Amino acid sequence: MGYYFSVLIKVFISTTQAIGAHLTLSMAGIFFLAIPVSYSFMAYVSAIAQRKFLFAPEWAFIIGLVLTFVLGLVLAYLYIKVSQESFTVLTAASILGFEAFVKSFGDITGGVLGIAGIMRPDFMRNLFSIMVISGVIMIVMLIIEHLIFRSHLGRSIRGLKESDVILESLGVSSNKISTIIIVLATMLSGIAGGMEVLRIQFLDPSFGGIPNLILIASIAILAMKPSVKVVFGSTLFVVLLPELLRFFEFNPLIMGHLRMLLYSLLLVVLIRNLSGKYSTAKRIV
Amino acid sequence: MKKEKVLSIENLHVQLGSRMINEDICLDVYQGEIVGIVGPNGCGKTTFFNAISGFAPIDTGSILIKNVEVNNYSPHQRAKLGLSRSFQNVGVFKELTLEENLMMAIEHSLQLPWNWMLKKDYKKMVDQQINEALDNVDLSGHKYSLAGILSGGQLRLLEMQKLRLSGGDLLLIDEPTAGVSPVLRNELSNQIKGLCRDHGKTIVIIEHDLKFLFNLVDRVIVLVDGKKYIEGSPKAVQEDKRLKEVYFGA
Repeated sequence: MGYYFSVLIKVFISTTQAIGAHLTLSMAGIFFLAIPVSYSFMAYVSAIAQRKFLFAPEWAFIIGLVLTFVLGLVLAYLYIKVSQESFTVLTAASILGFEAFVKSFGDITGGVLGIAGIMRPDFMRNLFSIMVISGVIMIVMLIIEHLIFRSHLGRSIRGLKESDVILESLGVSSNKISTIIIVLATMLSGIAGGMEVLRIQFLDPSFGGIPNLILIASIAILAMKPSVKVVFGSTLFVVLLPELLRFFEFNPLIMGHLRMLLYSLLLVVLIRNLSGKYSTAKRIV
Repeated sequence: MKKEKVLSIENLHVQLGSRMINEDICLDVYQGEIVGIVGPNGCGKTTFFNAISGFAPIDTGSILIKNVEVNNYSPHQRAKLGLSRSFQNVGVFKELTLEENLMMAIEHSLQLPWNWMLKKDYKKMVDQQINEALDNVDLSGHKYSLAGILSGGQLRLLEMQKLRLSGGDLLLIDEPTAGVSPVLRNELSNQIKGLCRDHGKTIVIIEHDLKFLFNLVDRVIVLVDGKKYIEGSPKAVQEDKRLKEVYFGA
């Protein structure tokens, strides 16, 4: 049962995180690649708050959320101040920067050895309760995303991808829209990271990082339509795909690498076949 | 009775890099007026529009919309003040449906609450306005289609309806006939006249098709090398020898 619970938790957590990537990468066309940073940031803040500063797990989670919100605001500010290209490079580099930071400040972060023995709140003592809570969080977030798509904000987000100039001429501040979705994506990714660390109860510099970016970017690229069903379906597909590897008798030592190889290949195939499919230029022709 | 001044531009200078694009332009536009702007390619017509709508920074001078100086206003703040504009490459979102494009204009105009789609009254009112707008331009059949599938002319007609619904009193229309077949030009001309006559909009329009423009506007301004060169009624400008010099040389 534990395996199935773990897979379901992975699906729920990845969906929550993918909603943020879906809104930024797929819908608004913002190459916000710092999603794994907020994922790890929230996990580290809540782990440090409880292990080093002795906060209760619930409070540590809330402190993590508040600081992740601040991180979101900083990232949104950078998006407004620098060019799109610089922002893409900056957010990609922040993944490596954060990892280097974690390794360098071992006194606080545990360095390469990481932080062990992370406590769960009383109401999340077993995998089943984590599964239920992460499932509820995912459903709430999917409902919020659905409402966003039906609202003025959703149309503005999709409009932003096409032209911020047209959007501004309609009286909508493109800076405001991009700030909202970058902060939202940071928070969603943070919540996912906070939940994941409560599940595994251990944290080291390999948490999040490029593998997490590849996973979430694959889901976001696959889910090109403004529909929550598509987001959930894409997450199911991308998360469950490597589980097929379990049916083959590979050496357990290379399973993790095979999984990443599969994701990378999937990403290449998706970019090759899907990214241009919905472009207007092709439709007009 | 003297009409209200909707747009007032005084000594406008726009410099991009080392090049002066607009130089010492003064212009007053009154309510309900249609003013046409013509000039050879590269004379700074679109930059002039960009400066008015806040997309190009101005060097010196002042721009007043309804007597409010907007020099330091961002484009969306100017839009909130009642300025709407169309673009050379068509100002509609091609990745959104026709319904969604018009919905965004109505949301801006009526300042609907964020949850309006969950309220029946609002939904009915917005739907009625959208249906009416699409009927006006024979696009009802495409209500749920992406705007990207429309022809150039149909996109322009949709853009005119979007301008009408966006609630702006002052419309800047940039080359409306670009990419539009001759058959649809009459329809487009009627739509623009209707915006002024039936809906009380004030319009400034850039157009290369002089025949189209002279039949539409109350006043014409000719820009040459970023400066105002000729100003007058369509008849007076057409008869001015300097217009031929501008377009065909001395």
